[in-house]
Amino acid sequence: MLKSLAYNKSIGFGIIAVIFLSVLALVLPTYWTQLLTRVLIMALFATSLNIQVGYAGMLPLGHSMFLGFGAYSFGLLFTKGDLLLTSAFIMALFLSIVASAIIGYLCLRGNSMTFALLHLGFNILLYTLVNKWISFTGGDAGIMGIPRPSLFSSSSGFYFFVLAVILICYILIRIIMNSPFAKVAKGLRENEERLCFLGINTVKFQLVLFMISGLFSAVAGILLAMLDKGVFPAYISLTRSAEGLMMCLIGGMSSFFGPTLGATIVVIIGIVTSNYINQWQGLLGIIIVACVIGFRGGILGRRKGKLKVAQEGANK
Amino acid sequence: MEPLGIIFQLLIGISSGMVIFLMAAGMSLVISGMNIINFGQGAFFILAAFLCFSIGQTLNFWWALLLAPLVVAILGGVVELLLRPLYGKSILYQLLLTMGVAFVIVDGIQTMWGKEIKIISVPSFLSSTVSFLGSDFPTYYLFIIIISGIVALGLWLMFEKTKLGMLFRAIISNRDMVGNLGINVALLFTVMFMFGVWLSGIAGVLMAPIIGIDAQMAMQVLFTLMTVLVIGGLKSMRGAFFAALIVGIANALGSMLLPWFYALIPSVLMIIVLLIKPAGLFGKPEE
Repeated sequence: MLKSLAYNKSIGFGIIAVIFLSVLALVLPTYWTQLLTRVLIMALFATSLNIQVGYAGMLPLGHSMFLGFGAYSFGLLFTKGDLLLTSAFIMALFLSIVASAIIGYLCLRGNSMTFALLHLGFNILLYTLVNKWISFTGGDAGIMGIPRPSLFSSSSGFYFFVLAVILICYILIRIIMNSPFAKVAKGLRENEERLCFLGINTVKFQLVLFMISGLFSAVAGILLAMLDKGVFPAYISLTRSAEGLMMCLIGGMSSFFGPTLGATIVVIIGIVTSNYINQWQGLLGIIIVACVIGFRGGILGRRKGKLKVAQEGANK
Repeated sequence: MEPLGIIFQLLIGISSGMVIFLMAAGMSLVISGMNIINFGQGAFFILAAFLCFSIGQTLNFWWALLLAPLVVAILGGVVELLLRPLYGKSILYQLLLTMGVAFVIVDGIQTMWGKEIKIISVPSFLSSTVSFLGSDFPTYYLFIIIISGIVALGLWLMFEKTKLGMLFRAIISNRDMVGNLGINVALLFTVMFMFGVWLSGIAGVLMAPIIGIDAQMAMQVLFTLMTVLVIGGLKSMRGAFFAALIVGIANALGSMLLPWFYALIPSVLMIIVLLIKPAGLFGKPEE
């Protein structure tokens, strides 16, 4: 009864949010619509990241590699593979699942410390590949000429396209995270050892979560490529990974909408400050340090007051 | 392929392997003692290289070798003070903090020194060549091997013979017990962290004259360190030594034999090790 009430509440919240966002798009000028599109896409990225950080207590420090992987495989399939938009989209998602399965399998072979190291390591590896393999990925200049779906090519049309895709993704994530499967994920966060004693193959669960999270950030990457009409190495950089973690941290990792709120804040801060200073990386670093020291609960997390990310490092 | 070229590349490989080992040793010490991965290590490396650039212009290379690592180590001490409230909290926060610090350092370097690549000339008395087996080798590579060999030896002696080394070993094997003995663990942590950063500072200064320094290199350095640590086993100093030499030599030989592929050699090695022995070549598997 209580659970269904909470469920109804979040559905109601979702409907209100969608109506609000649609009205906003109709009212606001083009510049702000584009900004809002970016906010939505980064919100999906942060939410997909939060599947690992907030729910399962893993330490994915290089998550932008899946954002970048999705975007690059989509871009390459479209420009070099001469596929149609839809089939490039689907193929890119398929490739992302395969890539996240391989990378996840390798990352999960050690303990949580090794996971963190390797995750970041693979991110740097992909970034270096993209930057150095100029004949294939275009290097620093990236890939240009990514189109938007023809029906939604205007900026407000594309906004509604993104809104729809993200709504579907949110609903899917929400369903997955409310399923019995996700109960195990929460168990992973609270006490991985005990789950092992219960005879649950924790690595397999972590791998599935890893793939789900990789898939949704690949979706975000493809949408980002369509928004920017190109794919750039910045998508796959460490800064982007840290941005994602920052969004989760600011918004609150323990709540579903926390990363969304965090994404809104971080993207807007990024855009606004880029008019004045050219040191986004350093500024992000300062924000990270400040938040980690003084503001660990996040905006939505503190209200609920039940933030419990993996404690294993502390307990050992 | 003429054997002379191979010997030459081997020399380069050993020298870069030794330098990588210094950094990996510092990182591995911090990981096993404090359970923290210092993602700032690459940034501190490159900061020391830039300090070497500036100090080398006003004073000389020897002062740079002395001062730059010290300055970097003091900064490392400040970072450790920032880390203090986070002990006992989730490991995620500690990793994020060191990552944030790395961003600030890299961006700070780009703001202060500019984005273009800086070249540091090899100090004049080391720029000569040594003839060996009928051909000439740059002295500087030998100098790197000797200096980092001395530092590595000092590291080993410190661990085995001195009180500080004993305390480090004690912290690694049982942290609570050291605290119960009335030893100031918090201070020891600061010293340990500063020591790790100091080592990467030395590495930065040593490498500075033979690479073009660029703030963005912090990332590649960090990546090399990670592969070395994963290959050798996260908490094993001995593993770090062999893995660093393997990676250094593989890189140097690879750049000659397989130029299109050599950037990927360390990662391929790492993946193979992970598949065969997930805990690393010298790491003990977790129970």
